[in-house]
Amino acid sequence: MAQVLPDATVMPPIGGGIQTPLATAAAAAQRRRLADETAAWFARNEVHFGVSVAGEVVQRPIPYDPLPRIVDSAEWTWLERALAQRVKALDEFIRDAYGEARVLRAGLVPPALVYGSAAWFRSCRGPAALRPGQVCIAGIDLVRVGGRWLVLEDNLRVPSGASYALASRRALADLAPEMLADQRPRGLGDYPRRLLAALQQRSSAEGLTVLLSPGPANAAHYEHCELARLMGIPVVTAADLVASHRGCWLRRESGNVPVARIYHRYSPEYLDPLGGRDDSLIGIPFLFAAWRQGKVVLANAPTCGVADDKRLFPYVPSLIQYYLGEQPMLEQPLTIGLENLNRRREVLARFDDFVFKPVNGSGGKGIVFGPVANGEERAAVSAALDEAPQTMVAQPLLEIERLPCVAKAGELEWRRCDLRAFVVVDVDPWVMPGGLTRVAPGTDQWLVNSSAGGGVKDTWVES
Amino acid sequence: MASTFPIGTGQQYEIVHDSIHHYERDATRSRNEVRLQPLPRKGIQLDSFRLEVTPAAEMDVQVDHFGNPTWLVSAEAPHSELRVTARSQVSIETGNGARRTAIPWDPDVLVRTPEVEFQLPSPRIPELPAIKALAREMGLKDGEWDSLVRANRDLRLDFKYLPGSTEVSSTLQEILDRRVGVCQDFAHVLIALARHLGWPARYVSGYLVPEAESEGNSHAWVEIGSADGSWLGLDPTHKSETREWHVAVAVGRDYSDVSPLRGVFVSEAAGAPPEVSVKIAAVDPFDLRRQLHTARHDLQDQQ
Repeated sequence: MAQVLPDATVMPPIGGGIQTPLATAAAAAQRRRLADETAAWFARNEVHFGVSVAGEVVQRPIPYDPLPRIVDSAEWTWLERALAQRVKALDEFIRDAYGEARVLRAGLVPPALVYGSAAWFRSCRGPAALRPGQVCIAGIDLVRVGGRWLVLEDNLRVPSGASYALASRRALADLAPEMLADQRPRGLGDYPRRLLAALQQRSSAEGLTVLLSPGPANAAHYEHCELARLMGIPVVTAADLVASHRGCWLRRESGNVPVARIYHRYSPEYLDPLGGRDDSLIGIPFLFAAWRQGKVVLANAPTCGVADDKRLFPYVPSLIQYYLGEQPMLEQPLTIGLENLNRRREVLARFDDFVFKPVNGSGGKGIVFGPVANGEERAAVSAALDEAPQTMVAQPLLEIERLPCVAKAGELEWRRCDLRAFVVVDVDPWVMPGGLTRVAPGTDQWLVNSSAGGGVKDTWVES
Repeated sequence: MASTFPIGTGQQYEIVHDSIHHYERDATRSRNEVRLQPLPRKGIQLDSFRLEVTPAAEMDVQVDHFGNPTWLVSAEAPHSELRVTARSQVSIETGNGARRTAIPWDPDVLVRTPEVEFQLPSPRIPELPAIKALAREMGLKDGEWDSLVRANRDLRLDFKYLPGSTEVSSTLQEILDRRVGVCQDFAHVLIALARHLGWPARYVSGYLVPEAESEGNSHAWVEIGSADGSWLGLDPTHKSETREWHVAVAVGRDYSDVSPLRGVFVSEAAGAPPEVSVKIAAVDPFDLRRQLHTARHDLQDQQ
């Protein structure tokens, strides 16, 4: 299953449906025109994603490729079931980790992965952590390898990207309506309504539903404003809120207004300086105290990080078996912990066969791909592992699916792509019929993350 | 706000823990977690507990991850001083003090048991080469109870007790370098040694009730997790095992989990360290005036 890539050559993809008329027809000029028009559309509509330039966040339009990925409907139906299964098991695990810890006592997951995790907050222990639906939105990163779907990563803390999927579709609807009319992919527009319903399902208490954003410096600030607009809820920042053990309020000059549901876009350790990092300057003191007793909904719950820690990842298939009594549907690459000195030596000796990932990273930061790492990067990985072996894991490097993209002169080039699927958990999980296909910034690039300069394309699920 | 408990049969003590935080500029929206309510233990019964806060504050109590009652205190209005007074009445019944022994863990079992939380490094007690060296220097053996008892007894031979020599924020490395400290520091060193030797070990903050009437003290000691699930107390400051007059208030991995008051407030200036006083006095069972006083408090609570 795990194939090792000799070098990054430009090759057509392994299987996969390439039915987009624009991709097959010899219409380079037409492709170029659409690429230019859609890029202008993204700029005009300020569909921005912040990238770090010399330590400063610069908001710029997210790179967009107009050739959609097409997934056939039978394949998608299978994926929907597989994703729902995975998210259900992860939610069970979170509640168990904060509850009776049955899975730890059963010997299935080493307790150190929970108690030693930087994403496990002792301050979250309490009634709220035991309720179903800790996960409200999951962003599961999938790749196709040899025609099979694999999970590369679970994102449960602040999965972002849904608004970019919606924008990808709107751009095509505006600029290439005939393409859509021809293929009639399943619509995505239900997402905001589903998300709002999932928030309301968590509490029917009187009070506002708000989106809590860290502010305009956040990379996904466009998304915060756009999703709030689509859901019809206000965007607020920490300065607008005040909490006590009795609840949370929006501060208004006319008086405080109760807040019942918060869709937050924070890395959870920053939400409450008394619950997470005490150096958080953007936190709301006692927000966890209110949440613990069910006085305010936090979505996702701040507990979720324990389940998307990369050191836990290898155990997810056994969690599915343990909690649901089912065989896991989705496969995932082998993930190797590097605490053991002998294993670490073996892996480092075959450096080129692996990708090294920090356990608590996101946005592709700190990921090192064996075959393309320079001497300095190799030395840095070795040094980091000597210092703190539990902070990185290794995975065999996979040749993931490449999809056709529009190159400079309108010709096609094949770039590595993944698919972030969005699962909204109401009473039952619902999968957005499409998701965000993320595209590496060049044919020789491995990372598809937007913070690493990656772009996006639309994802069409055949109806 | 107060909680009441059935009156115990042993000797009763009143513990008054008073702390005053002065602010250079007015503070508002103060949010605090207060851990000052004694934990019931074998031979120690909590008869009553009352937390008084000025300025006026909203309060609630929740139990934290470690099982410590944690008072949540919110004060909105501007104030230049926050005063938190905890009044506890505990009854202590001293037992026969039979010597106990902790059963060592099979390392393969411990890594699959939730108690491993207390054997892992924690915020104030990282893994340090100097601890390894100290264990070797003292000739301590993995998983041997007698080694721990000896470390508890002999720590003060290497580390000098010197009040004021360290700060609440002093790191373990500083303590190991300078070989001085107070009870908090000795507890951290002993926990680090115990973890290194394969034991789950936790930090206990509380009071040491004096045998004769005198000013009592806040104190800190260590509990070692036995493989049978029980915890045994060691007090490296007094080179002894703990007894019933060690009244526990909070347990955690290290000091960072049990601070008596942890809070934030909005102000233009930072706060200064608080003035803290602890008074512990035996309650005379024939002091009717005091009993009346207590009863009146209880009555008010029910209204």
